[in-house]
Amino acid sequence: MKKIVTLFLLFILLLSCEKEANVKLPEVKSQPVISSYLSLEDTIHRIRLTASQPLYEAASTFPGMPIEDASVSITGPGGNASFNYNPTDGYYELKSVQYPLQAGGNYQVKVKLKNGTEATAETTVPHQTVQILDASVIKMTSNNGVFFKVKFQDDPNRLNYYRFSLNIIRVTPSNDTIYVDPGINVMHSDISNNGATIELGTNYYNSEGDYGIGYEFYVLNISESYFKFYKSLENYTGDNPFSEPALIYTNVKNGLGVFGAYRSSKKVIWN
Amino acid sequence: MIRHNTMKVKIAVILLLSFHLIQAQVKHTISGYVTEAGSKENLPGVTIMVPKYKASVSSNNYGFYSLTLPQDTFDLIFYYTGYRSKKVTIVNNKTQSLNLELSPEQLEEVTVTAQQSVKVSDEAQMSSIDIPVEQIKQIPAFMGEKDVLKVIQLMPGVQKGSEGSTGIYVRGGGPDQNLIILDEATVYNANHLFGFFSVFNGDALKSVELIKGGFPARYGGRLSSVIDLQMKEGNKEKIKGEAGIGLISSRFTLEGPIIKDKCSFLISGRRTYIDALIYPFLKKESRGGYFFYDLNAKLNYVISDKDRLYLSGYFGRDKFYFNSRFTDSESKSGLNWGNATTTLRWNHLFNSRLFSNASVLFTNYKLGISSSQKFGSDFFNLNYNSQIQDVGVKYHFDFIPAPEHYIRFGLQSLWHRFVPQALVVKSSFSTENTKIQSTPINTFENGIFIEDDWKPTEKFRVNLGFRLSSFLANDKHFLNPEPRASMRYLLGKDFSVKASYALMNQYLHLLSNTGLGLPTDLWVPATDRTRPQQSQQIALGLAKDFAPKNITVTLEGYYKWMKNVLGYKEGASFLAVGSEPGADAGVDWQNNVTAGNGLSYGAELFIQKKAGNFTGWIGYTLSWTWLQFDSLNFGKRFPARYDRRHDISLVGSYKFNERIRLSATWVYGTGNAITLPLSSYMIEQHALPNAQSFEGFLPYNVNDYGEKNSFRMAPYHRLDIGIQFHKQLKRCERIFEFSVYNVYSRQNPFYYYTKFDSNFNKFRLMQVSLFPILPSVSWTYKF
Repeated sequence: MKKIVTLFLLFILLLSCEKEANVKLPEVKSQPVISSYLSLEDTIHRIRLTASQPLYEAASTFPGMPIEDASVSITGPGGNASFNYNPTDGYYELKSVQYPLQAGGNYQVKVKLKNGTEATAETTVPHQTVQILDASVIKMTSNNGVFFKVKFQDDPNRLNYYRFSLNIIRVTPSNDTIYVDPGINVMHSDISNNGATIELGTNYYNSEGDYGIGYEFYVLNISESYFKFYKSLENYTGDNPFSEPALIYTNVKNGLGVFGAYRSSKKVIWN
Repeated sequence: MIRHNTMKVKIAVILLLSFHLIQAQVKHTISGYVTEAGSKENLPGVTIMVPKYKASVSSNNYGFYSLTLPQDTFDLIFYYTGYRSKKVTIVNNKTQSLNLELSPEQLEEVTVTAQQSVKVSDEAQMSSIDIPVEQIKQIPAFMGEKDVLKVIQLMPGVQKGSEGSTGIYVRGGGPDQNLIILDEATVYNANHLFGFFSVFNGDALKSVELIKGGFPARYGGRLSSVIDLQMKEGNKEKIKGEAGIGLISSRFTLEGPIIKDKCSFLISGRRTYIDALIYPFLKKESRGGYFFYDLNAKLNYVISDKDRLYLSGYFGRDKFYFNSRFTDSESKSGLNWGNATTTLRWNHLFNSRLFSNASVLFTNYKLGISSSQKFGSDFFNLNYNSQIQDVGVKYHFDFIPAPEHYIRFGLQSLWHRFVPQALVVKSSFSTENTKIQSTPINTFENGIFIEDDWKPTEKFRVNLGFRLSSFLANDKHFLNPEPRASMRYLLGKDFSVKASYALMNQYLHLLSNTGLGLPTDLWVPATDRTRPQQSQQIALGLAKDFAPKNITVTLEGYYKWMKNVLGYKEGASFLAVGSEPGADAGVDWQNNVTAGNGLSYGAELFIQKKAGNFTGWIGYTLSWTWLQFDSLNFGKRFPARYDRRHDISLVGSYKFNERIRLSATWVYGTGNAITLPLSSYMIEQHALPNAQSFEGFLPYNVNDYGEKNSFRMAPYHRLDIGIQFHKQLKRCERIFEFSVYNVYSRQNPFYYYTKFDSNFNKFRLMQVSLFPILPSVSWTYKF
């Protein structure tokens, strides 16, 4: 079948010609990009601030280079506070002892660049952490993979969004214990099963058969913006004329990126 | 007092009865068939006028008409575009049968009443266009292949899909929302060669009608349009033929009587020969090619004045193949698809006022993919099939009790059988042979309808209709009432205002994984997950006929809502999912699509000249089409890809003399709305607490696209011209045609993509265009 599609495309290309498009390109400005996930459980609140690069203009900076000289502040139930840039890790930071978050609180972050550009974003910190009722690892016989399963109680009073992820605990040859995130994300919203006992699961296969000595199961109760951003990332395929472009979610006004919040619950299982 | 009232009622009843009796006594019906002189081909849409009574009626699809009038002496005038009008004086009419022949107009005789056939301003029906088949043959075509669907694309309210394709988008609806029927049978995939040519061979067609709105109740099952094609019956008097040789295909048609005036046949075929031409140039070891062919055949028999039988069929196939043979291995692969339709129809006259047509029909669309490989003693064979098959009956009645009423009623019942996929893999590498057959789905689609074309006064005419449609799939049953109405009110001579309303339901979805109109697109029934699509449309318009000049002008505005239309999910890949049907037979196609709502509104201007030395039209469409899907563009509405603000078609054909005809078309359309990457940025995902290393991606480079479909491609425009030289030879007429597609070689965008230019450290937007200027020639011989 691929051969035939290729044949067809070849036929088309035989007749086709290619040149630079002669259309008015949209005027696009570089915009501030915020990546931030706040939590009551964190000791430091962090914000990554970078700039988007308009595609049809010569790139001026290395993509993903942090913007170092912006002023970044937060407003919420705890009042107003400023973040400071930490050049060692490239984040704007604020210690949580200086600015403790409140469960259910609504926070607004404001970024002001040197050129006067201002971007803002808002998020609500979820009310509570979830209680993980059960976490299990099932060995699959068919492909020697494993199936991770987690069970927890949903809060019936609110619309909730969840992310289920985990770290694999491994021991290095030098006998150090390390925590590896295998990039597993299961996103869920309780729209269809509010108040229920929710079970989420996913399978995992490691080609080297390295399943570590145990696992840290995380169930994050996340903000709507966090959820929508991750869901949009699941569909993202990049730029390809033969696929339907997937839009990446943003809740940043006058900018791009995501400003989210979460509450984290953990359960450890040993192999 | 009570007694007095009872008396009054009695008198009234007696009066009414006697009035009815008087009426019944003096009214008589004249009915019959109108045919073409020389061929006895039935003529649909002939207007029969009775000036004395200011009454008129048109002949139906089978050329039948019926007029019930008081006993009197009067004239009947038969009008049909391009034919000499005929006047028949009826003296002291009685119920009688009157079959009439009309002769085509010769150039010298154009002075004879150049009346139009059915006047658009007179019809209650709106948003409908008759496309004369002769005109289709005059319009210059891509590679010289005359194509009905591409002519339909030149009509206002209709847009084409991508360059060169036969995809049809009517009033914001998708290509799956068109009901394409050939002699009553549905054609599921009207494409040859991935949509560059349509399956309809103009030589075999008699009439083509396009309906965009105000759908009469006799049609149902699709949301956006009806394309009703009728095949010719075949000459009943003498053997006639036509043969054509073009750049990429050849065609022939033969028609004639089997029993003179009683029984005739028509057979018409077409085949491409690119494969045969390039065959000698290919390497012996690996040869590939492509061809398509189609065959139309019809047989009809006039049993008596009251009964006629028609048997018609269409069969077409496309085939791509690639074979290679080396000393130690051999491989063959192919892709073929095609439609087959068969219709048996029986016209029966119960009496001079009640006409019936019963059809039994069969249609099948099949896609097959095969691949076989041999390496020494090892082998691998794969066969994949998918198909949809309909067996159905339609029973329609035309009841014409008086010139003021034309009542149609009937029923139809279609049994659809879907076989979405059947896969058989045999190989020597594995002891187990794979055989996957998705369970065939049997569904029933039924409809009953009644409509009355009623003229309560001379100025007011209305077509009121009602259709009840039902669909039964597995255990799911849908039942939907569909009210229909259209009306016209005469504002002046040949000048009317019109309005219409139609509710439509569609129980079949086309799941497409390509957007290119590939034959792998799959028809599936509505289910709980993919509910039936529904549309409602209102339209308002003006129509004016300039009868002496054969010019018709219509201006229409429409507003259309659509529910449960399908769209691709974001990130759905057109080539990956399902492109390897064998490999992922388990993939559920429903996962690639999502349902939402659509809204389309706009205005259309159409100025058409159907007869005379100069014929053609001007079409202009101003329109907006919006889509709203919960799972696309974050729930916000966005313009459809084929949302086209302006669309213009100019089509003209001029006959200089008997020998030379010059034709040209020019089209312009606002560019398609697409989603374009605007900028790229690095976004950081949330690292889990404690995580020290990551097997996933944390900083992620993504593109910002702005809002969905917020960028416009460059506008599309193109000029085609063609010149035909007609020459009468000893035994036949020869037509030589030279035509040029895309005369000024406009590079219209097919698609865009971004390419990184490392010299300037930025991306460039690249445009791929398909067809530059393409000349073509063809010869046609008519005998």
